[in-house]
Amino acid sequence: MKIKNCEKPILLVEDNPIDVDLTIRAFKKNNLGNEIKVARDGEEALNWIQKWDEGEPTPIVILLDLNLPRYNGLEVLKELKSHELYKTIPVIILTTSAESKDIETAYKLGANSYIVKPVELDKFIEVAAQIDLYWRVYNELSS
Amino acid sequence: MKILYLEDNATDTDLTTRKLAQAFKDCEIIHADTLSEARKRLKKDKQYDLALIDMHLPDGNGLEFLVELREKNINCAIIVLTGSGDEESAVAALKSGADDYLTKKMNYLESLPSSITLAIKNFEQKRKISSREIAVLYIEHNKSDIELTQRHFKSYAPNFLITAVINAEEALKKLPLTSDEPCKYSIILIDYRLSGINALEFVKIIRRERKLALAIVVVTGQGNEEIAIEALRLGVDEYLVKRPNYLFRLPSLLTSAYQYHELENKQFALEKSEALYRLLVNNSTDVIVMLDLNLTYTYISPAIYHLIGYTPEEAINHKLEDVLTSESLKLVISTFEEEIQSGQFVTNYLTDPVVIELEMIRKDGSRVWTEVKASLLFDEKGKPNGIFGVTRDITMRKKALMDLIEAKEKAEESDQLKTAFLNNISHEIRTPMNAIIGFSEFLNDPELSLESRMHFTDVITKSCNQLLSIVTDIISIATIEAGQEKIHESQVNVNTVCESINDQFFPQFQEKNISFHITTPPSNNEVLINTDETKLIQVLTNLVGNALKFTKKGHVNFGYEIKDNNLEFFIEDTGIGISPDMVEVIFDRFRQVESTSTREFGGSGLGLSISKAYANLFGGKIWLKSELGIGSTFYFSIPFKVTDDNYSSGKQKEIAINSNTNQPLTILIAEDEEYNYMLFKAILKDLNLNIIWAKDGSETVEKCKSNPDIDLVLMDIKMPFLNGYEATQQIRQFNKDIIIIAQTAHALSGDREKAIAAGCNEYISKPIDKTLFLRMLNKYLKY
Repeated sequence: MKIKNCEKPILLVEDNPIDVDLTIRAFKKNNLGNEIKVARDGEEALNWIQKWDEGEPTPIVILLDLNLPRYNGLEVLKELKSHELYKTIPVIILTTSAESKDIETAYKLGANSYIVKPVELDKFIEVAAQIDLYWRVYNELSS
Repeated sequence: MKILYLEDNATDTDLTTRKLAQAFKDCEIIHADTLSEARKRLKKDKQYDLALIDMHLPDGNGLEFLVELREKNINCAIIVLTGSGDEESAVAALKSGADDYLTKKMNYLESLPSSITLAIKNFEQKRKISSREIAVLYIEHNKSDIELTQRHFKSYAPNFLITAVINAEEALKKLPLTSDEPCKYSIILIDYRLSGINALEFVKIIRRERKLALAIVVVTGQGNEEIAIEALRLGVDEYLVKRPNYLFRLPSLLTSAYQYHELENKQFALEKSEALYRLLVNNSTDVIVMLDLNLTYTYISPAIYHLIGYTPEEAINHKLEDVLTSESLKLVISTFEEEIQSGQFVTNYLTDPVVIELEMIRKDGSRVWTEVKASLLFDEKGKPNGIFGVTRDITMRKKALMDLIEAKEKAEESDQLKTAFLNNISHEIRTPMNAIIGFSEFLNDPELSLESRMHFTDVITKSCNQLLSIVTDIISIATIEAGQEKIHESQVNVNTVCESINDQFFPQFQEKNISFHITTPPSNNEVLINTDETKLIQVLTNLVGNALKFTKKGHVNFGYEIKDNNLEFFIEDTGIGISPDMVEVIFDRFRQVESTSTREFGGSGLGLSISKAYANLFGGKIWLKSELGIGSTFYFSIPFKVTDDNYSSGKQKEIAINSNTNQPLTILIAEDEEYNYMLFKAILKDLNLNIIWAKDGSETVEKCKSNPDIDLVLMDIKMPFLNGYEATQQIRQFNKDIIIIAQTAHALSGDREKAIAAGCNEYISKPIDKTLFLRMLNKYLKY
């Protein structure tokens, strides 16, 4: 399984360096060539909005942790999904929280998928690819 | 209403007729101006509500007609009209059965309508009585009189049931001895002249000895005023002389005597019930109050003293606002405002009570909660004129309710904390698990470089340790909760403990670029105390670990002082600090400074509550000073119990091994799991050691016996055939010097003590911490 649009990056919002390392390696192992941009807290994640405005390529998918310093993941999600331009970027919640309250809130705010860590890598990559496909078709149709 | 009006004066007739027509609707007046005319009228029609009779008539006395009416049992009320100064005939009329009389004075017409209404009402009541059977005991020595009287009553007043006896002795037999016994008779009719006991003596017995409250009427052959007076004085109700026609007067006389007594009995019953009511009111713990509509007390029962400390006399002078809080006063006013103002006429004496809760102010100023059942009081016209209330102290009930609410809130809060704790623990377990699972998958990659492999295993090891420390925390808190945690004292060198803390944390502080200092009292190389070393280290590790975790830059100072028989540890940091409202709760279970979702620092949130529980077990204290954003200082004190120097048997024996000689040491690993054996071997591989493996308890004992060169045994506790404890005991029978270190996966407190008791020198829990294990080996083998 591959995610198309190799020229587009993936944004990973994650504060735990071990998890960042693990995710990058997982993508590499599955021969995904997309560049992975990392935001280490909620604030850094939201700073990307301005960078996209200035011409940086928007990511093909955003992987978002919930337990984050400064702004938490749900706050970041709310901000992203209420943005006129960037609300169509698929967001996958990747977190250790299995709290039903978090899951519910995340989906209400517009998350495209919710994955609880620990997770098997292959499964995770598959979800990411499916979502990418869905959104590409969706965007093509709407444009 | 139909009135028979007997009056000869034309002016009076005219005025009276007008007055009556005006006062009563549907009033029919049949007028007669002579007795004969009246008799004719009566023959035609016997149905009247009232007869209004003037006494002076051209053809006779009105009294005659009155007697005729009564003799003929005409069912109507009778009012007689007399001239002034003729009261005597008025009395005679009343005795003959008139219901009322009016003297023809000025304005007598004004009171005529109300007299008529009253007379009709009275007559109705008398009629009711006359329809009731009344038992009369008749005492008369003259048999013909008895016969005459009985016959007369039979035809004119059949409701009187006459029982006749011929003397007082007989009568006394028929009457009860005391007033408590039931009495068959309501009236005694007695002739004055009797043989044997005379009438007056009889009355004395009845009234004074037997205290019977039935009516007594005396009849006598001649009018003798002295007898009459004496009889009345002794308690006779009526006195009648046997004049002609006296039998006609007798029934109404008996009726009025009977009525009088019934009234008296009612009065007595009323007094009795009133006394009973007073008894209730005065002894009730509920307070009974009455207020007028200005909210001034008109009555307060004595129980008020116990409720608010005022006597009823004191309380009655207070306005309601003096003894009620303003909120409660408002409640009283609002409760009754509507009903009072509506001015509604109510037929009940009391409305249904409303129940309100009021807070009262005691004489000493304290407050008391009361429940009041309150009703409005009404006057006879149905207008509200007061408030009636029964007040009860409900402080206990209120308190119980408050306690319940508080307990419920507490339970809810603790429930929330537990949920937060579970979510937190879930996060703390999943984080290292994620790394372990993820990196383990990579390890299988055949093309993995050595460098990467080492990196992966390093991450996995760190994550495992993190996981282990969380599991240890959870087990600790569970043991504490179960009340199974105990202190196991041994001799401990505090300075050694501090050094080991330093060894453990120094590299991590260095890595974070935070300076870490240890301060201990000078000149003491050895500070030996009796305490629980494991728990002491656990508390200090928690506190120093927290300082490390929550400090980003600056310094952490750690050390202890000896203060008043206490050993006081301090851990001072320049970390994030703790806000004052959290200082109190930070030691509660599951609490962390930041419980919001923007959690930056991990941890089970159990460390401080475990530390506090241990501090309590030690008989010590744990507390802190902190300033948000500046830093915190945690203090931890334990009793300074100096060890007895003679107590040296507890001191662990150290084997002096000449490390210069190249002769390797020999270690026996008693372990039934091969993987565990391999792990030990891997840990020990760099050391110059002979390693022997024994796979069960009995093999271990055998090998120790056959190989006297063994310096140290690593003894697994859970092994087949012989467990570690039993194997140790057997080895100790032939070798007291060999060092035995117990190693087990049950990291439960008490295992260590069991191992020591079995003869082990030391105890280490699995999974084995390599550093700790090597330090231990070093200690015993002086490697």
